[in-house]
Amino acid sequence: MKEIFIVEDDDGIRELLEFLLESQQYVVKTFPTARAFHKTVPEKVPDLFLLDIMLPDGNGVDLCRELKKGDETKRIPVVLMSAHADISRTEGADDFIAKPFDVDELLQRIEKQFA
Amino acid sequence: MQSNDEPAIGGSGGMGVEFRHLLDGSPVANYICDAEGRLTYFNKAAIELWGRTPILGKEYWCGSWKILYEDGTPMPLEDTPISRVLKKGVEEEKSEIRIECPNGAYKYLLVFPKPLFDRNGKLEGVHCTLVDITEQKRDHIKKETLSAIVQSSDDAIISKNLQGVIASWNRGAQEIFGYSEDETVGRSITMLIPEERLNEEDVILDKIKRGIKIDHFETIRKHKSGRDIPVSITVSPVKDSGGNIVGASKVARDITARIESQAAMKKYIRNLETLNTVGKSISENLNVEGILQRVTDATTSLTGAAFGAFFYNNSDDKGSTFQLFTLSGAPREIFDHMAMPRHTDLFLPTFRDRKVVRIDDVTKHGDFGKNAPYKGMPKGHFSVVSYLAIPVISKNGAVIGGLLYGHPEAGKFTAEHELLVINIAAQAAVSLDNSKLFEQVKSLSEKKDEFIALASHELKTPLTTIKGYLQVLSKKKADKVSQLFLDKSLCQVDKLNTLVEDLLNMSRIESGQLNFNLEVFDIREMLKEIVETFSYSSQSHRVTGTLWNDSVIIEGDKQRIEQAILNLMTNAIKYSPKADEIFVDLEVVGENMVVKVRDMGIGLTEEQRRQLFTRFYRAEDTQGISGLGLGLYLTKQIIDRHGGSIEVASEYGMGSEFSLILPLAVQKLKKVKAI
Repeated sequence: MKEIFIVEDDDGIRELLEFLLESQQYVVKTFPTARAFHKTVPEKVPDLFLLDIMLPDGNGVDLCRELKKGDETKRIPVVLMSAHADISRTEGADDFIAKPFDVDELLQRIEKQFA
Repeated sequence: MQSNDEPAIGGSGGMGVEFRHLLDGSPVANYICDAEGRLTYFNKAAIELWGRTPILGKEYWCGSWKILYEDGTPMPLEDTPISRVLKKGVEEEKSEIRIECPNGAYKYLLVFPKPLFDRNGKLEGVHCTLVDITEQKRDHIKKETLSAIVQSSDDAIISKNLQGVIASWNRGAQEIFGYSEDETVGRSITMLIPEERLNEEDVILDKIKRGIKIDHFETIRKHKSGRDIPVSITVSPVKDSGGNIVGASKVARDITARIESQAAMKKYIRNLETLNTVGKSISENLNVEGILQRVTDATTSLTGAAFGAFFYNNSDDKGSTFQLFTLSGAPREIFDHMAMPRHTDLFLPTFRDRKVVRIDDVTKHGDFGKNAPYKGMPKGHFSVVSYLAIPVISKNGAVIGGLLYGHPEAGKFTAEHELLVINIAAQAAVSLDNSKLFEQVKSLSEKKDEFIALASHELKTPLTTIKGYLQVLSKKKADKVSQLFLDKSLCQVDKLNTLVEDLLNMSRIESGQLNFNLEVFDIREMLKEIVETFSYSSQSHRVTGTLWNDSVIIEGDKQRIEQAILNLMTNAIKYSPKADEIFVDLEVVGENMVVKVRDMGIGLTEEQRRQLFTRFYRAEDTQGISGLGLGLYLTKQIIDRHGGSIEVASEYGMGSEFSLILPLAVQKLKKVKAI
């Protein structure tokens, strides 16, 4: 069973993602802030990171850059999400999903990362 | 008593024939009245003088048609000299009367009435001799009038002989040159001429001797006090009765006022021109420093100040300093190691009390030298004696700052300078207010863009959740009605998202932050997909695509161009509610590709066509069709920024055709192929 770490500050979206991914048999762990995320990572790492870009205490793009540098994390796929559909700022990530997303498309994109 | 042998000219008057002959032939007018005053004799000369022939024995005292006093009022007959002599029986001195002839001519006469007595000494009548003095009288009046004119003239009227010696001097000459008649008559005219102009007199006299008049010669003469007087002089030769030139008459007019008014006019025009250019340049300028520098430069030059400066009124509660902002006529370095002017007694009135301060000699002024620690001008400060300070006052009454001028000499600034600078300062204040307003609007606009960016992000967050759950729900088995409602809800969520996205894009365009990810791609492929998707999703309209028979390669932001085309197609469907088909064509024309989107809808009026691409514009009769009015604005912005254009052909009620034109990426493609 693949494990996915989600960083998303909005409760509604976090719960939705948790529900969607768990219903697809993924193991999901969520973090509301970058700080909470850092308490776990890189000691524990998942099979995929799903990161929101705008966080109250940080930025998904920075987190992604960090992960791609870390020895334990650099090979783990990172998917970014944002309500600001600005693709130019997502270099380094493996994929980008614009909010609001299409549920099927989101699941397909994540599945693709494990193919 | 009338003689029958010699017909009388005008009666016999009781004279003997010989005596009568004597009088008849006399060139002097004579007549005689009897004791009752009846005319008994008059001679030819009298008829000529009166201009009429009176009736003998019927008319009394005089043969004149009308007798007048010297001032022209009628003289009653009983008041005539003859009537007086007859009444009193005493001889009278000659007296002067005026008469009017029947032809309207006036004559002046000297009357010599003499009483006639018979042998018994009884008064028998009066003999009167009339002498016509009209000519002399007129000459006299003319002379008196001329003299009065000369005397009353404001111009100096002077006569001189050919040696330049003054012969006459009028009141005007006294007024202009300050000398009385006694001081000048008999002296040389050169007393009025400044030394450096003495040769002028030689030239003038030379011309006069040759009979040439000098007309309106403008020069300088000297007042008794030594002051120069600008004058315009006209000199004419004076001839004696034999036609010989014996002297000159000179009319001099003081033209000080004229010259002053000319100079004032010139200055006024120059000032006006400066005011005009300054006004124009400051009102065109929205940049604070530009406005103030221009104002400082212009006013420094206008006032003739050695230096001029604008100081911002940075006064806080402590009232500490002003901030030098612009400087003219002096290097800025001077101020570098100097404290800014402070709330001293000299500056306070301008910066706090909005007062204009103009001082001829600031070093002698009561408010000077009270500024500790300098007690006057700081060391290294350029010398300021003349001082002028004018506040620049904002519309709200606050002193924005002060314009300060200085000059090392005393008394350099006049009331006129003061007025000029006040005027310019007022204009500058308006411009500064506008500039401030402009800055505020700009900052508000930036805030608005920030807000829209933030708001759209915040709006999208709940949209994401709503859309997600709705999609989850619509996958579950549900009854038909629930399914229909879910689909409708999802459709509305997408619409809402598009609106939010449009708003965000608009604010990005406004703030110049709309970024493009350029790539070279085949727009025919893109259109194929779009047409397919639309045909599948649109339930109301068919989409008929006529696409170019080959690849059409362009360079651009694929996503944005797709958005532009989708906007046009969505509009085509939206604004043709009664039609069931829209058309999409792709063709290549020259070096451009053209995408045409055509509908058979309500069409556009000319007015609507003109406003179509303006932000938030919505045609008036589109009630019931939703939108923010941003779609076409964004579409045009996207296409413009790709170096393309949008054209619209439409007739009201006959549908519309939008053509989206973009340059082909021919050159770029060739390069790509070469690699």
